[in-house]
Amino acid sequence: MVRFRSGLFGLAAGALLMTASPTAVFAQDYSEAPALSALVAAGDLPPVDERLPANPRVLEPVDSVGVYGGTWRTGARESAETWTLRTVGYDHMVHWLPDWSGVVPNIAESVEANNDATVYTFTLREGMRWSDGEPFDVDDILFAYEVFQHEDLAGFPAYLRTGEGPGVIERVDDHTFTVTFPVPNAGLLTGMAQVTTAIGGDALTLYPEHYMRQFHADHNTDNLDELVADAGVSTWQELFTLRTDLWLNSGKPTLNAWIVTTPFGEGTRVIAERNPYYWKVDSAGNQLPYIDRVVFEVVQDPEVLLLKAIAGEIDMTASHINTVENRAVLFDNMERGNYDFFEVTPSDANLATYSFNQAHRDPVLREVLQNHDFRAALSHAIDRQEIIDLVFIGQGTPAQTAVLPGFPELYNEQLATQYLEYDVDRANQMLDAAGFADRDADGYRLGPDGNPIRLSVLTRSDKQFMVDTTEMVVGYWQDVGIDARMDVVERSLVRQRKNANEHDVIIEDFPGGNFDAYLRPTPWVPIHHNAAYGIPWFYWWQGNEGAEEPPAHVVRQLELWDQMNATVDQDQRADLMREMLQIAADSFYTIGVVVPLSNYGIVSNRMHNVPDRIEGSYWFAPPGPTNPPTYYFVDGTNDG
Amino acid sequence: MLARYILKRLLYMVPTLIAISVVAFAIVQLPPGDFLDTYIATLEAEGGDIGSEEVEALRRRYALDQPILVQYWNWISGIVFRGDFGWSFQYQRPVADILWGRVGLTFVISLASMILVYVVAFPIGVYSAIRKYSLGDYVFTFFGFLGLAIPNFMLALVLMYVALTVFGQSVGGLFSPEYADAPWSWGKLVDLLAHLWIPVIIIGTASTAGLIRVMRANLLDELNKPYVETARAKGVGERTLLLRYPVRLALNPFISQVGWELPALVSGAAITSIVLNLPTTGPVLLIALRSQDMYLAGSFIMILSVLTVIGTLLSDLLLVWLDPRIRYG
Repeated sequence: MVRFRSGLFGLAAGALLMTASPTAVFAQDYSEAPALSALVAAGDLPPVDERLPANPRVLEPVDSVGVYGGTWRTGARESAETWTLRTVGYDHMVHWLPDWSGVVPNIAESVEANNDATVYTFTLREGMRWSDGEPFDVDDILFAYEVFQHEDLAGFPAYLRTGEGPGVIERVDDHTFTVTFPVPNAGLLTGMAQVTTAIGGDALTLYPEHYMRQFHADHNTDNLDELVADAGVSTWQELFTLRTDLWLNSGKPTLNAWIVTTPFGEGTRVIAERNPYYWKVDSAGNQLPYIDRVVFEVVQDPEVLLLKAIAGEIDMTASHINTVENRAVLFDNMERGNYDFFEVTPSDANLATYSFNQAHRDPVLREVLQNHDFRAALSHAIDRQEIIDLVFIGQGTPAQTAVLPGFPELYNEQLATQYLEYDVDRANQMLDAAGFADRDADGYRLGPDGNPIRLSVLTRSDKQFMVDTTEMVVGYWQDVGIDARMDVVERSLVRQRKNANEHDVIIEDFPGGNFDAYLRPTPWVPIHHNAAYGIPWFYWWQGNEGAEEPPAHVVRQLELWDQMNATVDQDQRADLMREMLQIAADSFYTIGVVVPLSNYGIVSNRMHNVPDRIEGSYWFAPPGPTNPPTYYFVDGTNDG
Repeated sequence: MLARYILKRLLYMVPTLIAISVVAFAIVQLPPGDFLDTYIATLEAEGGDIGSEEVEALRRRYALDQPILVQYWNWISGIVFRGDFGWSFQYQRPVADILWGRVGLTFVISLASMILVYVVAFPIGVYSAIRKYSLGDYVFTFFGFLGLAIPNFMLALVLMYVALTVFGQSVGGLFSPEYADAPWSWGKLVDLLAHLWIPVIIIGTASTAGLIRVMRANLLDELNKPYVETARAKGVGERTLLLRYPVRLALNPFISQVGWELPALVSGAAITSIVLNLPTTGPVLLIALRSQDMYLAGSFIMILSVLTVIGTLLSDLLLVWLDPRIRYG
């Protein structure tokens, strides 16, 4: 099997060709679940080799080839849910490799890109079918393209857009299409591998043309009004949106391993049953998935899931209940619930990052906050180990906000370890030397205007550890003569103030410790609305209102970022990122406190093929890339 | 006379409801930001993200960029002219689907608790009043106050733990997993009853204590009045006397409470439902308010208000029927 990294376009010919593993199995060798064999025997379903594409995706199980049967019982929340998308829903055009070293074609049989990442050619699997047996081909992709272009429907996903306009999708033949960009777009494949929001990585395969056309005003002029009225909505656009969501509509055909048969809103559970037309097989030619059905217990309060897990009624989860607080109780009840832990590796660049607003509206505070040594001194003033012991129950490592050592290609030691020691004398010396030696009667250091320096540390109320951490940090800063106050407010208010550039210091947690540094390097370069050290800089880069031209080194960083996104060659990409991170290290925008040690999920002792260690970043969409269709139960049953 | 009275009351309802709809919509708008801010914050809480172009597209699609008056008109005109309660951003489907899908079980639970409350509170209240300061009075009062004092969510967690450890019952929800999606059958009904006792007891305890006190106090007021003496002097038996005169009068506050029970049937016990994971309407209101899902929250408050207004009318009519001394005002 040949694996290519997402950015590894630097092949001899310059062009990228990614192909899924070749077919090792002959059609006559395919086998299927007993329940499906019965349907075939009764004539209700075509035989398995007619249901599979000519070249199904072959998955190599982690432990062993499995057996059919069983129900995967897990949990879900009623809204803003992503665990469902990451388990049953993760079947995109391309997938992350299980170790997150790059992407691999999934729905596509192969993907080819030209040298400068402007033209991508996707080849689909011939004979692949939707879960209702209808063929899946380029017509479905073109229908999706039409939906993106319609102004009232979901727009283009971010990875199909460039600064010069969206990509153009064209048919080559029934199983081949091209995406052409006006300027290089090296982020297309990594964008498609992610689970994001409504317009996610699966946007191209979200609209089965034969089914969705009846809800589209351009395609249905007969009875659309009736359909709209029957559904109790007021416009066809609403109906189209409603019918697109397979989690709310069991009628929509899918390419996923399990078909949602009981959607959200019909009772307290969401149920997904085996897709008889699923287009993947294991290395022995067994059609996947092994597990018959997935049941999500929909809860309002995760405590219910915790009780169920203890009672052995949850087979596998790495969401909702796998918190630091629950670790002890879940550990104590392992035997009773017959489950074990697996490791979920966090990729947080930091859990508590303090961003100092260097583009502050108040010129005095701006001057103070822009002072590099001022920030460095405040970093030395923090006793990180004490915070870790008290707030994080010892489960963390002191660190600045940086790429983690576990991702050596972008790890920058200076960025990760500078100004880390707890040293109050040093902090005081540095502050004195930086020009803040004068103090008022209360011992607070005076700013350039002769008034005491007062900082408000904006803290969101929904994450208790942030409140606890800030409370301690504010105390440390008081100890070195800075009048820092904690300002705890509701999280959407934090957003609002941040967007309006009305903050002094904000605490945030950031991803970016691993491969996600390529996707969201927010703490080091202002490319996102969470870059609270320079919101107007971000607006400048975006061309929004409220912009302010950043200093030269930030402009250089933004150039490097844009260049990276237009670069195909992986070595060059890493070089550009490293240069950008080095500037961030020299500039020291933010103070980091702690990175988490490790996280965990629980898995039934009867469930196999779940890896011992799974990448935990949201951007990795765990456990999707570890191939849930290959999970199976011993003897094919939950209880034995 | 009666018809005119009802008509007058119905007419009064119109301005009341218009005022309520304005207030309901305004309340939902009060917190800073809008639904999208909450939505983004929720995504970010999990480490997720959303592009700013997508945010703008959503803002346009949900018409959140329109002035508040326009939003209000869209909403209220939909309800009045088309019976369309709007679109829930949070659940991504029509508000009506979310609410009506949950109303059935909410009624079952609330009605069951209401019956439990009346059946328990009425006789105990009467007993406590006529045997004032007896041992029984103290015992009932003690347990009544205990029920009143223990927070519902606490009782819910304790009962869930007991159900799990002692009875080995599957906790959360109203059905065991094997019945959750099965069609209705005898077994499913039994299973429902086996799960129903927890929420019914929890929701019932607090109001039982309250009603016992109300009943007891009212009855005590009546028991010493001269007409009771008169009736007794005329030789009416104690039991007949008690039930025919003072109890009947003491019932008035019971009846005026019906006005409040009607909205409670729908909104019933949000916290208990969240802890017990019941598919009722209460938690929806809480979630909608928290996430600023304005059409869902606004419509919900609107429906509750309509029920309160209707409930008040009903209880007034009942009072008239029960107590001839009350005149139409």
